[in-house]
Amino acid sequence: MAVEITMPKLGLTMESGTIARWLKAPGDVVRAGEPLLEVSTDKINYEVPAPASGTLGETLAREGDEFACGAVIGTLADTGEPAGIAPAPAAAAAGAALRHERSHGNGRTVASPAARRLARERGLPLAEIVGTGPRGRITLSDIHAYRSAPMPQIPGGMNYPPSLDPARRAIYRKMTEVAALPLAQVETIARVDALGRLIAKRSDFGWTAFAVYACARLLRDHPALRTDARTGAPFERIGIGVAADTPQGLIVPVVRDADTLSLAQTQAEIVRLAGLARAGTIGGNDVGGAAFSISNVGPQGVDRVAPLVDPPQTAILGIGAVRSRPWIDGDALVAARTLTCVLTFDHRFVDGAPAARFLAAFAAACDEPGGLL
Amino acid sequence: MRTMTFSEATLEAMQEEMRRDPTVFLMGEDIAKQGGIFGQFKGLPQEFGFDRVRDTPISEAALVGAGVGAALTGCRPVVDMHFADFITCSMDEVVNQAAKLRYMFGEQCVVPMTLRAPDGISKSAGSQHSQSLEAWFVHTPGLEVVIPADAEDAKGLLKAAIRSDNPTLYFEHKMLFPQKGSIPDDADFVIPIGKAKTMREGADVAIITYGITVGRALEAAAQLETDGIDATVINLRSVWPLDYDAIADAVARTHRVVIAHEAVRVGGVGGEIAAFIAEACFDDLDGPVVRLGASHNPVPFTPTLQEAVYPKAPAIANAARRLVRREI
Amino acid sequence: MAHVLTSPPVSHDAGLAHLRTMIRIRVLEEGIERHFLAGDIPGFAHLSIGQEAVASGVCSQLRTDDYIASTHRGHGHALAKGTSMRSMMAELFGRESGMCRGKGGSMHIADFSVGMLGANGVVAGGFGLVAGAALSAVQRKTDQVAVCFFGDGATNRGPFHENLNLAAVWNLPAIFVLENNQYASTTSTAETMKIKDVAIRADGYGIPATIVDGFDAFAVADALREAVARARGGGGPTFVECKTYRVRGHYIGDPERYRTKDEVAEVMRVDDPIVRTQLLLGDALSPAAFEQIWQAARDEFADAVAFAQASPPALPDDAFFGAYAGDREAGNPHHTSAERERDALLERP
Repeated sequence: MAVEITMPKLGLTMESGTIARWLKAPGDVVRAGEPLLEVSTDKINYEVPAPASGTLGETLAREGDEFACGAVIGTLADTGEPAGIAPAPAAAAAGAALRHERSHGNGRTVASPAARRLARERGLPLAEIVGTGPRGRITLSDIHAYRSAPMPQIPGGMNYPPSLDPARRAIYRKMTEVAALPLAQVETIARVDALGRLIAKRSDFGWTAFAVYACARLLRDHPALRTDARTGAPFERIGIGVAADTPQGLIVPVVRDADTLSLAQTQAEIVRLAGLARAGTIGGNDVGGAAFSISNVGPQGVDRVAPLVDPPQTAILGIGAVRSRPWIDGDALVAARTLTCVLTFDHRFVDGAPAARFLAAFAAACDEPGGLL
Repeated sequence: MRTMTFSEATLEAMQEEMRRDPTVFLMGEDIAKQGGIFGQFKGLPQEFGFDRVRDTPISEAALVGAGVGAALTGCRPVVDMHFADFITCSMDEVVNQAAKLRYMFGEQCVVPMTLRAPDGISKSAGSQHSQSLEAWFVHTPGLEVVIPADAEDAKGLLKAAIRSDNPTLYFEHKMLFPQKGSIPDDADFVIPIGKAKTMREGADVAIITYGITVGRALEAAAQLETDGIDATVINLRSVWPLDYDAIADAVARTHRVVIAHEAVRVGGVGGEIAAFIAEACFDDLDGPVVRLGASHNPVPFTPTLQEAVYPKAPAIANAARRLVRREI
Repeated sequence: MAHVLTSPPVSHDAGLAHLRTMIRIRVLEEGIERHFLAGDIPGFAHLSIGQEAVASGVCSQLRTDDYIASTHRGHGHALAKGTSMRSMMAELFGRESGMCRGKGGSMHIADFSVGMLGANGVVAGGFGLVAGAALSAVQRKTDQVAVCFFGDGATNRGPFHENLNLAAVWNLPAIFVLENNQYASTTSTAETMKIKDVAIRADGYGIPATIVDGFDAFAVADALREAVARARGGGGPTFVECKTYRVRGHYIGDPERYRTKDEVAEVMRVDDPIVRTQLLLGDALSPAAFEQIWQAARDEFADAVAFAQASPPALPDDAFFGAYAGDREAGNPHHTSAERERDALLERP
């Protein structure tokens, strides 16, 4: 009996993956557990083992193509059986329709009770969700995997420039999506003399850690700034994405539950994540699922960055290098250390005034860090 | 904590309860002079006398009937059935007398009798000496049914059964007698009847079980761990009263459940648990409720045949694995 | 070998006591018959009319703390052992004030306060209970004795044999009282056993046996006096076969196709135990005094019926509780379970 090879779900928040490289060719006999292909997602490469023993089917999904988790990308036939049918791209589209039919045919939606309840609690449209359980059953993992903008099941639906590697393609795709969003910005210059002295004195946290710490706490009271674009409701858990520049390009590891960490713990977590990112060993559970992100171009020596939001987040803070500037303090002209802060937000969910209030609160926290500690 | 065998744990429970309460006495076939075929009564007549530890003729109806009569009139008898299969020779005494007198007589009396019954599949003892019959007695209102899984359960549940004012069946699996386990040092260690114990916590699947199958479930959980599947194992300890709260809690936390016991699956206690889960935990389920139990035939004699007909660790692990992988 | 007692001595006081007991039983049984036929009593009822001398004779020799176990035909035994007509009639009428809170009925009446360990709906169900009660007395080192009432039908069941053997080999203070009323439901003893005197079965277990005229309260009492003395003195069990006759059908409403009306009428004419005792007492008992005993019994019965009718009925809500010790205590798992059952079945207003 033919066994379907499907795009595996390799991390809690993984929704799709790109086929980086097949390690076996059509017609090869493979053993269960043998490495079969490499999949890349959000810049991380995984080796995927064969789910069963058998002969690899003639038609395999194309390298470089992207599939949602659970989508069929090939088949394994019992050794001795004729090689099975794996969908060609057109067939994959038909496969997607078939899968939807299995979950929702005859006017009946096949879903486990727990999946129904979770979809209800999250306000998700069950009718749009395709089940990957037996006989098309929608299960909890399908609810967890669901995004409001469903991934195109048809590979090659997006025409990538030919020289892009899989990692770059992921960013290309995402930015194409972001380009359509109504993004707006508010900007302010925060005074950081006191914060600078505190950082120098304590030496157990840095500028980025403070930004994460402050934003996490402020986001508790400013829920609009942590709206989840998939549901329109705030993310319950406050994970903060911290953009990191690595030799492989941009990666955004997430400091989970940042509002529960102390400054020192935040710093330690940022250091840990950065280390993994630079080594190329960051895992699927350390990326994705953030409620808000921060981009800091200070280390590159640049004053200002106006970042783009990272869907399904709806806001992001950009901060630059600390600069001494002339500052009017009362009537006197003084030299003050300053930080340029730009808050980009998705105007479908966040309005200017709440964004401005959030940014002002952040600047106030930088000016008087004691208030927040 | 001390280590001792299941058999020694039951013996210690008997000693403690007989010292504590002079109305506790013990009777059964081949227990006093022989000390029980598993040595579980060794030394008792020497300490308490042959009046309090009595060998009976092979008369199950009289044995149990007299146990009921003594329980009605101020004693706390412990009646040993030798093999659970022989309860059939005294069914009227258990079902129509022990279970019903308190209710039928309007609560004028109590029947604080404990019925000890070694049960289960062992070493080719054949169909008439290998049964697990707890389902019949769960189905009979008026009886309590407890089933220890290890030495700790053996002691704590036997003490509880003896102290209970209700007629209590205590099914002790024959293959557990030599098994070693830890016993708390507390001299008054009693396990409350009706409370389950969580042996192991894991988020992916719950295995709900009792008796000797608890050990098999823990083996299965170890196998599942190598597959990246983390299992909860619930040891029910009592099959009546059932700890429905513990069952519901396990389902709420894992969303997937396998129920397993050595007794025949059809009409077994697993069915009661599965029906409860389907009714009370419906929205927590992410997959069907799976039941494992012995097949619906008498237990055969030849070892290879005998070993095929009931669920052990591989079967339990397999069912859990298929459930978690959404193959069913 | 069983021995047969004949013509024991008659004492006036003992005779009066027997008369009172037997007449009370007779009035009770006839009254139950009337109320059953009038529809006041649900279920089944089994009358012991004609067998009063056994109940009276046996119980006259027992203390309140001695035990008896009875059969499905147990109203007379219970009354003779000391239970009240009120609690019995309330039970039969399904009232909460009945001795079993309306949960037992005629076949399961019991009164532990007077050592009555219950009527039993299972033929031969009492043997184990009595062996156990006797064993209990031995364990607790008291001199209580336990009496098992049973009929000829029960002597063909397994527990009869197992418990007689056990009582004999363990030397238990048990007394086995057979009311051989010639019929087990619809089958006569002639059809169901080869022997004439069941007492010889006791010989098979090494138990001393006596055969007495079951219509003669004094004879029964005398046999029991001997048996009780043996038991209390540590001499072990005794078997007493009372030859008697079941005057009414097996149950109220029994069409009695297995015997003739003439057979029944003849027995009552010759052997009515009340008349026999009255005759034995002779001139020492005036007709007026005799009638006074009857009237007192009727008054007691009328009072019992009035009590029963005025008592509140047993309520459905209570049906779910009482099976387990602890099931009326909040927090006890049996209580939680009983409430769950009640809530599933009873409609709430």
